[in-house]
Formats: sequence, C-alpha cells, structure tokens
Amino acid sequence: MDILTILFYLVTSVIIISSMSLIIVNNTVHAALLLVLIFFNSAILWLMLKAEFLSIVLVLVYVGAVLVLFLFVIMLLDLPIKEKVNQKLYLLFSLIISLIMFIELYMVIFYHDFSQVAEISHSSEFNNTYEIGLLLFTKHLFSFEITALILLVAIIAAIAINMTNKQRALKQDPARQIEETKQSRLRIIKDKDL
Amino acid sequence: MITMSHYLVFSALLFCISVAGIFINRRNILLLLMSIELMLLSVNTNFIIFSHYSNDMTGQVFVFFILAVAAAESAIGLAIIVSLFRIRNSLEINLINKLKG
Amino acid sequence: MESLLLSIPILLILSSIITGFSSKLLNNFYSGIISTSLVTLSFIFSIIICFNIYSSDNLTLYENFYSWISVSNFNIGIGYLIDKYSAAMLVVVLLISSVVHLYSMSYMEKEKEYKRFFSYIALFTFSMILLVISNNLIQLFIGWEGVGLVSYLLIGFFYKKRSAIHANLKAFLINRIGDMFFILGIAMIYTAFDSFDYRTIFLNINELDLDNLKTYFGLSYIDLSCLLLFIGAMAKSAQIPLHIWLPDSMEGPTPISALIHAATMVTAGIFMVGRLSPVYEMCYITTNIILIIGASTALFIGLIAIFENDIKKVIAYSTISQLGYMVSALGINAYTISFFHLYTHAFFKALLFLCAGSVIMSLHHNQDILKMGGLKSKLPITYICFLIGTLSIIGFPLTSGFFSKDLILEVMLYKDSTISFVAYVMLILGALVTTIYSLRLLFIVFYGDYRGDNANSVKEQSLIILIPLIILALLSLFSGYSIKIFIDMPIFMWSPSEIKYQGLLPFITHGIFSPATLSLLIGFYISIKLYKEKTDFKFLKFFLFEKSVAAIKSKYKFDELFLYLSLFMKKSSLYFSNKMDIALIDGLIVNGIPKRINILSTYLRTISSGYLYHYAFLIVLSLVIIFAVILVRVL
Repeated sequence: MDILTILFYLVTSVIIISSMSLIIVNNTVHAALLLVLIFFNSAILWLMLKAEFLSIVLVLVYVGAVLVLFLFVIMLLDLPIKEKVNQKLYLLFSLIISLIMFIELYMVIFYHDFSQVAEISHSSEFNNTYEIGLLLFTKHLFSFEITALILLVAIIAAIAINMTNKQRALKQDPARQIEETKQSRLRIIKDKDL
Repeated sequence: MITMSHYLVFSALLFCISVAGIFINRRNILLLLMSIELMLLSVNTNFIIFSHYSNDMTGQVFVFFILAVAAAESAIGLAIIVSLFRIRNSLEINLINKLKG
Repeated sequence: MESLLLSIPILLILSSIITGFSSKLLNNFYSGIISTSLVTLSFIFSIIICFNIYSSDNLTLYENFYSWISVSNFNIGIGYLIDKYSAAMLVVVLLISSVVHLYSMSYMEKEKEYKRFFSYIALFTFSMILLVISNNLIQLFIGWEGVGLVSYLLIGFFYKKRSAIHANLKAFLINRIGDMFFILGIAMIYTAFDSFDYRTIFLNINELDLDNLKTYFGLSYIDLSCLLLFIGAMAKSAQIPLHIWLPDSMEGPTPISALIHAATMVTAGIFMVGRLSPVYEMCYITTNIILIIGASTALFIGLIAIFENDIKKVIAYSTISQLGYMVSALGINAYTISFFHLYTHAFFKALLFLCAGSVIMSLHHNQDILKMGGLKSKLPITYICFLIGTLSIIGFPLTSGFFSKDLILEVMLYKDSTISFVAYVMLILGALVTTIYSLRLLFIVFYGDYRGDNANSVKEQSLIILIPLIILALLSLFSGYSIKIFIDMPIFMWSPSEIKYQGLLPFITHGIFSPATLSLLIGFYISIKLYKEKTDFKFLKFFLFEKSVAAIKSKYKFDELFLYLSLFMKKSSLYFSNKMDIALIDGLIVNGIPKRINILSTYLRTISSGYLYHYAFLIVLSLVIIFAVILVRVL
C-alpha cells in the first residue's frame, strides 16, 4: 500500500463525511467549522496533485478570509439553533436526485478510460508558482486585471448594499442636541390667531 | 494505485453532495452559501486534476481566477444576507416567499 | 267556373279579415251581416259549381294555380281537384257554415268578442274549403292543420274560463298526435309514388312495384301508409282511443259545436279516407282495423251517452258514435256510403246542436238536463225541430238518417268475413243504444215537469235563431231521398262496386223489415219505460249491471290513461335528462373538464411556492433529466 493511496482515501473520506454532515447539522457554527475542515483537507488533496501554490492560496484566501467572514456574520446575526424539522420524504427525494446526478456524472467519467492516463513526474526544480506566474502575466494578463476590477466592484457593492440613510432606530445625537435653540422647538400661538 | 478516475469520482461526488445541499437546507440561508462554496471547491478540484494529468498550467490559472471571483461573490452574498436580516430579523428561508404564485 | 271556385276561399278569407281587423269601424251587427252574406254567397257559388258538375258527365276540374316549392321531384303547391265527391262536400260544408253564421248572429249577440267569433268561423270555413278542394296531400295537410288550429281557437273562445283552456289544449294536442302519424303516412306515400299530387298517385297505383317496397310488422307498405293516414283521421274524427278531446270541446260556444264538431271538422278524416279511396283499395289488413275501430267506437261511446247529464255532452258522444258508423262503412270499402251518412249526419247533428243551443239560451245558460223538463209546451218550435233531429238520428223510417244508416247496415253484410259480421252485430247494438240515449234526452228535456228555476222567463228565442233550425229540420227530413246520387258517385278514379239497389220504394220496405227496425222498436220500448214513465226495472239493481254502469260512467278511464302516459313520458324523460344530460354530459364534459383542470392547476400551483430551495430543486431536477436523456442517447 502506497502512502499516497492511504492519504488519498483518508482525506477524501474526511471530505465526503464532513460535506454530508454540513448539510445536515443544525448548528450553523458547526457547519462553518466543518467547511473549514473540508477546505483544509482539500488543500492537502491539491498538494497531492502537485498544485502547491493553489493549495496554500486556498487556505489563505478561503479559510482565512471568506470563512472568517462567514463566522463574523454568523456571530453578528446571532442565529438561533433550530430544532429538527421533519422532512424525511423531502430528504429522501433530494438524495435520490443527487444520486441520479452522480450516476450520470459517473457514466460520463467512465465513458473514456481515464485510468491509463499517466502521471508526469517533474524534476525537483519544477516551480509551480513560477509556472503559474509565467502563464498568468503573459497569456492571461487581461483576465488578471479584470479579476482585480471584480474585486474592486465587490468591495464597493458590499459597502453600498448596507449603507442606507434611513434612520431605523431612534438614537441620541448629543452634538445636534446642543445646537438646538428655543425658536426651533417652541412656537406660541395666541387665541385670536386660530 | 490512485488513477485519474479516482480523483474524478471524488470530485463528482463532492459536487453532487453540494447540489443536494442547496435545496436540503431549510434552516437558514447561510447554508446555501456554504453549499455554493463547496460546489466551487469541487469544480476547482476538477480543474486541478485535469491540469495535472494533461500537463498544462492553464487549469491552475483558471482556478486562480475562480478563487478570486468566488471570494468576491461570497462577500457580496453575505452583504445581501445582512441586509435581509435587517429587514426580517431572521434568516428563516420560509419567510422568503415573496415570489409565491 | 274556375273563377267561381277561386272566389269561394277569397270571399271567406275576406270575411275573416274584415271582421277580425275592423276594430271600431264596424259595429257588431254590420260585421255579422257582412260575414253571413259573404258565406251565403260562397254557398250559392258552390251550388252552381255542384250543379254544373253533376249535370255534365264526369267533369273534373283540376288545376295547379300556385307553386310554392318546386325542386326536381318535390313539388308543393296550391291547386284544386273538384269532382262529384268534393263538390258535394263543398256544398255540405258551406251550407252548414252559412246556417251557423246566421244562427250566431243572434246567439252571440251579447258577447263582447262577437267579431272575433265571426272572424274565426270564417277562417275555419276557409281552411276546410282548402282541405276539400285540394289536389295534393300537402294542401290537404295545410287545411287539416288549419281546421285544427281554428278549432283550438274556438274551443278556447271563452279564454277566461280555466276549463275552456284545458279543453282546447287537449283537443290540439290529441290532434297533434294524429298529425304526427299523418305526416308519416304522407311521407311513405311520397316515397312510394314520388309525388304528392292525387292524380299522379292514383294513376300510378296499379303500376306500383310492391315487391320492392318493404313490409313492416306483417303489413305491406301500402297497408302501413294507409294505417298511418288513418290514425291521423282517427284523431280528427274522434275514434277510440283518440276521442277524448271531443266531449271536452263542448266548452266552446254552441254554434261552433254545431259547425266544427258535428258537421265539418270531424268529418275531415272521413273525407280524407274517401278522397284517397284508390289507395285504400289496395289495403287488406288496414281496412279490417278501420272496421273494428269504427264499430267499437260506435257501440262503446254510445253507451257513455246514456249516463251523461249535460245536454251538449250527450250530443257530443252521439257524434262520436255516428262517426264510428261512418268509419265502419269506410272499413268495408264503401266510401260513398259513408259519405252519404256524413251528409245526412251533418244536417241532423247540426240541427240537434242548434236546438240545444236554443234551449240553453232560453234557460239562461243552464246545460244540466236534470234541471230541464216539460219544455215541450214552452219552446214548441225548438221541440219540433229537436224531435225531427232525434227521429233522424235513430233512423226512424223515411227520415234521412234511416236511409243512410240502413244503407250502411245493409252493405256491412256484403263482405263474407267474421270481422264484418261482428261489426254488423256491434252496429245493430249501437243503433239500439243510439235510440235509447236520444230518446232519453228527448224525454228528460222536453217531457215531464219543469225542474229548473225561473219558469216564467223561459220563452222561445228570436226568429234569427229559429230559421236555421227550420232549414236544417227540413233538410234532415228530405235529404235522404238523394240516395241514388251517393250510391253511384265515383270518387276520382274509384268506381263503386255493385250495390243491390233496385229503387227507392223497395229499399224503404227492405229497410223497414230489417234487424235495425227491431232494435229501433226495442229501444223505443226501453226508453219510454225508463224515462217517460220512469218505471224501475229489477235487473237494474244487479251487481254486474251496476259494475258495468260504473265502468261506462267513468268513460272507460281513457282520460286517466292519457294522463298516465304523459306523466310516464315526463318522468322517463326527466330520468334520462338527469342521467344523460345533467350527469353525463354536463357533469363529465361541460362542467367536469373545467373542474378537473381547476383541480390540476391547484396542484400545479404549489410548484411556484416562492421558496428558493424549491426552485433550486426544480432546476436541478430538470437538469438531471435533460442530462439523462442526452446520456442515454449518446452513450
């Protein structure tokens, strides 16, 4: 038995099991943490596929930024833990559908015989990062710049969605309170003016 | 011996589970976003696999881009969710039925 | 001559229109005068035509003067065919009509709706003329329907009386039943001969290819068509079982009972069968059926008349009974003899009705004979006319009724079959019954003591009422002597077979010594004993006798039978309508399909639930299905 084989099976089983629990658990925090586990394990998997740069980027960007964002939102929104809803039939039906989908994908995969594809081993001086950078900044430069723009747009959108001028709750603003005068608050009306 | 088909089967399985996750969850919408992340992960894995076995770096470059876009998209999605929460004070999916016919 | 003939219907319709549409321009008296004079003028014209036809040898007037529909073989038009038969009928109809016009001038004097009445009887006479002069089956049918319609209008003349409305509807509906079969008969004849025209039919009778025509229920084609036509005649001439409308039709005023239900409309059926005599000659079974129906009607309906207490109803039942005589004569193919009885019967029946009308008027609209009596001294002229009419109807020797009735009974024995013998016996018994009820009526109304009220106000009516009575009385006495004409009368292409008629005097003596006179004497004896001297017979208390009397008094429950049948039809059609129309067609298809679609759409509506995950599910589901289809095809 190869160490790689054992590692593969271990990692994939952890991923599969935690993804299945992800969709079933009640607690949202648990779900987010399971997602963290999934990402770490798939980083390992990507390492096995000799994509070092991307596995590290996965951990840094996804776990470090996106999932932290998720956890912040969960924390801020203070979501309650729901009790179990009886949805057995629905569950069954949807699992059947995804099973059918899996079968279809399986059929597609095994249409061509992929088991004979050989792995190409590189020399130890093969730098993954270097190769990615080479391709990224020459052939796909335009897409790179556009991605930067997308990120900019995302920032602006995220801020703009939650920026409203509508006052939702009454708050005290001492700075404005000091500035008020008697004339702006009180008006005396004589009887004969009515 | 781990061949390409093993990897591909794993990726397909992950994809199917995440697709199921989109409509299984009835508790809150964050799980939906998480399933989307999972879906994107499985697609990324698929790209890496093919890039590895066809000795072409283009796949990994594409994963790079997908990662960036996915991050942006989850940020915006979460912003939407926060504003939704502000209106509804709850993230129950059952309350989001304004499209009911 | 054609102009004379055509002017008859024109004068009549003119009279109808003038009296009908001249609201306040013409007062009642003048409209009556105009109407009566126009009808009398038509009568004079008909006499002239009849004289012309009888003085020449076998003259027949025939013309089609208006063609209404003409499509290859299908020709309907208005035309006339006058031979000795229809000329004589024309005279009878117009004579009775003019007499009744004169009578109603005084009888309907106090009616507000005077002019409507005259308009209707002129219209009736017009339709009857149309029927009589017609030369094709469709015009016959048009006249047939016309007289039915006007009979309906006239029976319900006093439309504010509920019983009158019931009666006129009854008459019309029973007529309608007959008409349904009549039309079927016309259609069958048209199919066989390809024409409605009498001439064409009669000329082609012998060349008819009877082998190619289907037989129905054991009857040959011609048999069935003649039977269907006869059923129409049954409804019109009130034979069993379609006779029930005639007694109820006495709700109308008495002049119309005289005109329509004694002399003219009810004889239209007899006239029709006589008219189509060449066709009826080809039948074997139908004539026997006609014979049986006629004989049973004559006997059994006569029995009902013995127990009736309304003067007009007694005369109505006697009309039905006498029509039975005419129909039985038709049943042994003696068409002209039946026509002879029709001719004499018109006179004495109209006379009886008009006398009854005079009695009713004098007693201030009392029609119950139990409240009459002893009118012999109070209303002498009416009494004498009534006596003459009664003697005619019972066949007292030397009156017209004697000639016609005895001729029928004679001819009944010419055929050597059991059916005709049975019919003969029934007719003899019928003569006995006729004698009993007629004399009963005479004795109860005119003899004895006056049982009503207001004895002093009972006096004879005016001259205008009495003159028609006298005319008809004279005719009832002397019209029988024209018997020779009727024995030799040919009906278009039918010639009468040999009847052993040696002369007037031998006929009279032969008639006096026949079983008919025996029944006459017995009847005289019984009625004098029962009704004049009011003796009580022991056997009248017999149980069996009382049971049969009860059956007769209930008029053999024909009314109930028809009511039951119509109720049955109503219930069964209701059942079918509920099951087929409402439950099946409405429930399943008309209402059912929208309902099902509604239910389906209620289910389908749950798909757009508004929940995101449902939509996502559906997207994924459809994706899976599409991929499955593609994969199955590709792999």
